[in-house]
Amino acid sequence: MIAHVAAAGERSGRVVLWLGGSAEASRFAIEAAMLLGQAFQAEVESLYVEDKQLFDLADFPFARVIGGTATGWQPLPQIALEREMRFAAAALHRQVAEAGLAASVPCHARVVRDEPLRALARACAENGPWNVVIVGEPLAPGHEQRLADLFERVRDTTGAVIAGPLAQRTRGPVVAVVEEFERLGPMLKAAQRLATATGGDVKLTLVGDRREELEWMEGEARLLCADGDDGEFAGFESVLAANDDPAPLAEVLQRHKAGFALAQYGGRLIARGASLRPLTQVLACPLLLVR
Amino acid sequence: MFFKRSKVDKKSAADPAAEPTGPVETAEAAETAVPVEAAAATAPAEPRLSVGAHTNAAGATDPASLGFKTTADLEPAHGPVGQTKAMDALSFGAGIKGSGFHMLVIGREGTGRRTAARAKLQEAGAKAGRPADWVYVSSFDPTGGFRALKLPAGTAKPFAEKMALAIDQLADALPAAFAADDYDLKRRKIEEEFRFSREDALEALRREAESQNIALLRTPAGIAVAPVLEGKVVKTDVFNNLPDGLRREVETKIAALEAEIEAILTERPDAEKERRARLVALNEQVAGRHVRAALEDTKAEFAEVAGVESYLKAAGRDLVRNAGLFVAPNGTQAAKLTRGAGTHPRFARYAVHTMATTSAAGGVPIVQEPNPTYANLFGRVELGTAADGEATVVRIKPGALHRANGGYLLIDGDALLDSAATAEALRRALEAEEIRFDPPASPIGTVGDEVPDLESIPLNVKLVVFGDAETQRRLAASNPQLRRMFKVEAVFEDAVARTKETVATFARVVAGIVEKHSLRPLDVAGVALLIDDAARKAGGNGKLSLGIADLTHVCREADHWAGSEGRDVISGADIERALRQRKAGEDLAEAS
Repeated sequence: MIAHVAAAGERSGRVVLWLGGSAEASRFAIEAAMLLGQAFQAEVESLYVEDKQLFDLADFPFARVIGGTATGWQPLPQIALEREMRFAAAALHRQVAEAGLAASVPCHARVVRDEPLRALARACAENGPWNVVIVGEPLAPGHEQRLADLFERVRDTTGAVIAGPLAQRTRGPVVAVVEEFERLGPMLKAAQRLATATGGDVKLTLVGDRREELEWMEGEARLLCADGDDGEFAGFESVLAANDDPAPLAEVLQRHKAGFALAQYGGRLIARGASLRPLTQVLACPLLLVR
Repeated sequence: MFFKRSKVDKKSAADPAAEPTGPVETAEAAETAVPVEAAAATAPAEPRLSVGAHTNAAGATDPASLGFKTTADLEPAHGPVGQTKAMDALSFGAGIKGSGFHMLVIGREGTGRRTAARAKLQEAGAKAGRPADWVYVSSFDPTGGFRALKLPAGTAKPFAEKMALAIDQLADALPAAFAADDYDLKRRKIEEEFRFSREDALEALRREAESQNIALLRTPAGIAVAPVLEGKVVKTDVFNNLPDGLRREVETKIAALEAEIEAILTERPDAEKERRARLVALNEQVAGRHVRAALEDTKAEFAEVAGVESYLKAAGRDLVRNAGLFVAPNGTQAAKLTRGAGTHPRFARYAVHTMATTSAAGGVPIVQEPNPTYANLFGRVELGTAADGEATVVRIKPGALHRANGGYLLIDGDALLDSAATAEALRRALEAEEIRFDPPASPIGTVGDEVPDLESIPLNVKLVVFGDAETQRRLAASNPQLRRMFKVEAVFEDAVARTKETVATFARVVAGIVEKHSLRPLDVAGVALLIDDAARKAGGNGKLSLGIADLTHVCREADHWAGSEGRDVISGADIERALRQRKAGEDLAEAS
């Protein structure tokens, strides 16, 4: 987990910006990659994956494609597909390189032709000790399976950053949503590191479904923070939340106007495979989901 | 001059016994008498003065009998000498209530008829209440016309300023409101909801396709459909080895799915309509708050004025609908337009065009229009070109009728009759008692011939036309209907009988000229010379000429001579010199 890596002071890892699939990449996803690079002195690898299956499709004489604006069906021969992908990759890599230059973060670009998740898993396995995947494409309500597959198949990533379609900022407070006490320390440290890049303070949100549990966790958290060097720490907040309900998290992020957020994937708020619709409708900042 | 007029009385000029007469009461005058006589030898003889009030045996005015030393001893008079009938007519015309009593002031140029008329009008007008103000405002309807709003006296300017201020405020507030995170998020939510609903439909289709071993794939160029087996796109060689029937079945399914995809992407008019409606509602919600706040002051101050509330409602609706005017097309803040935004051409439709307003000094307006063209009487509309190429009204300028509404309009009859169309338009306006903007040609001809529809403004004006006998004749011949509208006629005589009273008034009129033009006082000898000159101009038949303009000219010239010789009082010699100069000038004019 990145929080653990950050807390342990291990060698710097790598931010993998996952591009491909569509020509679209969220500007906020790219900015999130740079913020992580700055906060953890990591390099950013811009990985454009040419979906191999599309080339299999392009072999068919009936292969056609229709644009989002419905300008009519166009043939999809291999040569056209290759050209489209080459241009899309070049444009995205240039965008990333410019952002890297502005943020003083070293960036590398790579294009691979493979099945997307396999390519991502291989890229993360090649390098270590830790990787964080940034999903370049804006999150859509139907992406829950894709996200679940990512956590399932890309084992060497410590987390994934998603940016919603309504993203509008990467500056401001960092909200760390903690559901389990043992994650408190590392997530707090990670949030503090991120806050140095986002220019905000840290808002710690403890989440539980029982009041006694929350009170106990808050007491422990206060002790922990009092012992440590937590200059940027700004405040606690306890939220009662039922399982599989991202609404409380969404409300917290909206209220704090967060510039970045950390939460646990597969936990109480963002359950594995659960609908992402409530989140996509309110998520205004990048969200780092940790395992 | 095209026509020369003889300055001498023909009857007197024909009399060989007529002797040049002139006052030689002072030593200075005696010394300067020679050139006058010399001039008289070559010029037609001056009429002999008759014996009358304040004259000696020769008919010359006796200064000693006038009873003052200088004009400083006299109460200045600014009215004409005599002219009782004319003055009574003016008093009646100026004071009578109700419409239709237009006045025709007849008399020779220089008889003081304008000054006298203005004095009477001021006297009558000061007693009357201030008339209402009028402004033109956009009707905000598809005609692009303008409504006339009647406002309490003196409030047109504050009303216009408040509206301009409201536009200034909106130029600040609206770009900020539309650039705010809150608005942006709401707008994007609507957009995303629309997109999500499309994505949902595609997702449902994807699942349906999956059950038929067909996948919807995303490519950089859009969406494609492919046959799959166990989640992987089927290789062509595998597909080609399928039985023909199965292949055709797959291809048919793919074609059907493609049609459905296309339908999802293109045929969603209801969803698109709803998206637009929600965006409009959001814009109206955000803009409406600021527009209401910006117009609040104006609304509160003019709540009682008929028509203002409905205008402000219409303006508010239009501002909300056109909030985009304040924001650049890409949603970023437009070029900063804060101070003076209210007068920017982009916001011309919200301008308040002041057509008539009165000052706090009170009284009704008295407006003199020296050049009564259609535009000067009825106003003009200045057109510009909007960003979309459409003609737009930039400014509506009031005419003399607007400015004089509720009071008096003074114009020169000959100048009016020079344009028969304008005279007829004026007649129609007076008859209908309304100012209707219907120019004979385009306003200024800059953009086509479009003339906006301006609501008529009720007209309540007394027309005062100045002219002479010839003007009367022209008027009767060219526009008899207009001629009949002058129910009051004030006829100024060229001369009045010389009596003690008229001589005394004449002296006071000279004192009035001295006061009005800040001249040195005239001594009694100078006044006597002026009286004799007036008597001579009247033909020497016991009358006094009433040429105030000429009298003023001589006094001013004499004042110059007195000043050049360092004297504090204008003497008879100065008057003598000025009269001599005038005579020389007249001779020169005759010769040319």
